Amino acid sequence: MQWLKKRMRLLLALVEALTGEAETVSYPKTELELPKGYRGAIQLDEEKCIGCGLCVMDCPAHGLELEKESKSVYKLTYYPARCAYCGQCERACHRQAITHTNQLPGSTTDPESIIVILKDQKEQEDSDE
Amino acid sequence: MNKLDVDALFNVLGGEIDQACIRQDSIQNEVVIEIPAEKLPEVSSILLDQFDLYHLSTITAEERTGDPDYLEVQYNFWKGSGLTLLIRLEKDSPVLRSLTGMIPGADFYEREVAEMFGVRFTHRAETPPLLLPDDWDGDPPMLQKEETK
Amino acid sequence: MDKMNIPIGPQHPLLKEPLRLNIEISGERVLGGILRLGYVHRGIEKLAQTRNYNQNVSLTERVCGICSHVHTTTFCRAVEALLGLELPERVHYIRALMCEMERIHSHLLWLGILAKHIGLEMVFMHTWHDRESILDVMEEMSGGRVAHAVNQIGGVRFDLDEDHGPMVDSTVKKLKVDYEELLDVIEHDTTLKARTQGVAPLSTDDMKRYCVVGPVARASGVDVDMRRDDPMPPYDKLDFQVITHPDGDAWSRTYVRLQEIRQSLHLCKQIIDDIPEGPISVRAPRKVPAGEVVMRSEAPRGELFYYLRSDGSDYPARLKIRTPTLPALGILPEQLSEIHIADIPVVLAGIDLCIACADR
Repeated sequence: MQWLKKRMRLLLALVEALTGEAETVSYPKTELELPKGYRGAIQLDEEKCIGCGLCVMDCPAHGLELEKESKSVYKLTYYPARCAYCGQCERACHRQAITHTNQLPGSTTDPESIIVILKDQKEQEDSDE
Repeated sequence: MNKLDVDALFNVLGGEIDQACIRQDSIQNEVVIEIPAEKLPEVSSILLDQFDLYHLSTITAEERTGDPDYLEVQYNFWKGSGLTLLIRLEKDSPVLRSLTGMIPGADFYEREVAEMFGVRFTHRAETPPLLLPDDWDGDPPMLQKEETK
Repeated sequence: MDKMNIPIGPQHPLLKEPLRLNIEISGERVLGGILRLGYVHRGIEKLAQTRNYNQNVSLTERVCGICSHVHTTTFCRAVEALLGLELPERVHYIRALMCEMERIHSHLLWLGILAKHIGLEMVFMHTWHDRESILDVMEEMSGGRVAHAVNQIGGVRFDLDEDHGPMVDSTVKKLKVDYEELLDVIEHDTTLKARTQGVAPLSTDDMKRYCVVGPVARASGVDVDMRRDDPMPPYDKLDFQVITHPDGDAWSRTYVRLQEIRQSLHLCKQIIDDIPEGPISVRAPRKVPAGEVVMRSEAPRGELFYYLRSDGSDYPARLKIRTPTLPALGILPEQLSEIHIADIPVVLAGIDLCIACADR
């Protein structure tokens, strides 16, 4: 009886392996389903951001940089290549201005090319004058 | 396992060792006893033989920012609750007697303290570096330099 | 017969992480070994002194990849003890749930590695397949498969939805069935027993003298588990057993870890059933008052020790981490004497190396 049970288990495993679907997906040809809380690239709500710099202070990887000249003239830059996708900036912001998107950050061989300027008040100030 | 009987420990230490073993409450979750460096082997053998305190969690060394001439070395034990032996050493010549004769498990911890803080351990074979490379010839890395971060 | 010296590592297909082992052999017998660590030393204790407390939560997570959650849990608990914060109950339950799932996936990973070293590739495939179901649940909850980023100072970063509870329940049920099959293999398979029983036995006295912790010590009869002896909430309210085994050889270590998987599955079920409602974090001040604290917890490999001293400034004055693999590596040279060359992978796998943890 044990002999038969073991052979049946082997047969079942064989059938499952031949007919079941693959565990892997051929990305990027197929869409990748990311979980809901996936920590992807950073985005900024420009209306809410006041340039306080708490997100820059709490970033462990120096992925954010703030150049501040006065209370309303500042520039916030994001370096996706240095970012650790840890969520500290999202938690540090008191106004929920900076959040993680659900998108994978872009991959590239040149880290300089994917730098994102999140908010640039300095340029506006220059163009106003 | 039985918990460490702290009151009995203080009675024994007070009786057998004349020099003052000061009790402090400086570390949360731990009973701290400050002892002079030369009493370390005596106190450790009392802990091991009379109180069955064999588990040494680790040996921690640090510099106090307000006290630039001293190094502090802590021996953190555990038996149901934590016990720390605190020793202050002069930074010019920090020397301690090794515990590897009684507790062989102290070997790795002593090697790390020796290479990171420059403490010298006597009565043991030699202290080869544990984590730093063999050809490291700089200062002990954990000691603070003049320029801050 | 002549003696010969064989260096293994730091890059070697046998090891997953770099360490150098100089093995002295005579014919087929191994006489001893010398260990060299430090190939992945990143200086985390020194780096922690130049980063503020929030940055250090992310830094301590990256000490180890497999037991990352318990490192951040211990660090956050140490900072919260200095701040004197009282956390809501729900936070403790979420942290404990992730700790137990991490323990399950770490033990399953280890079991696969041991089976692969012996040559039982199918057990390796099965255990890593089961491990993926746990990692899927953790990814759904936290957003990351390996870097979970669960903890913050003052609470946790995310809350459990209404579909997370049933997901954990169904995974636990499925794993209990697969677990019975694994237990059958460990207890009755002749190859596994022949390769692991009687290999490198260590007595209780050896474990005590070398201050070994974790499943390796429990497999030699030392009855110590930080979840029971120094419990973090909610372990004082949960029901579980501490597994020990008297023999102390490689088979006992396998058996102890496998039984711990069953206890962790039981704990996950209790946590999901008993978790109270409530907030998931409290506001934590940025400045930590001066003080010192020692915090211990039970990582998958044993007792994890954190010492934190704050001098009132933005940066910690001293952070000391002692990971559980370090004393187990101390006893490795003694295990390597009087075994055969073919037993070296079994002995190395038995102590469940995590060199990234040991080197910091």
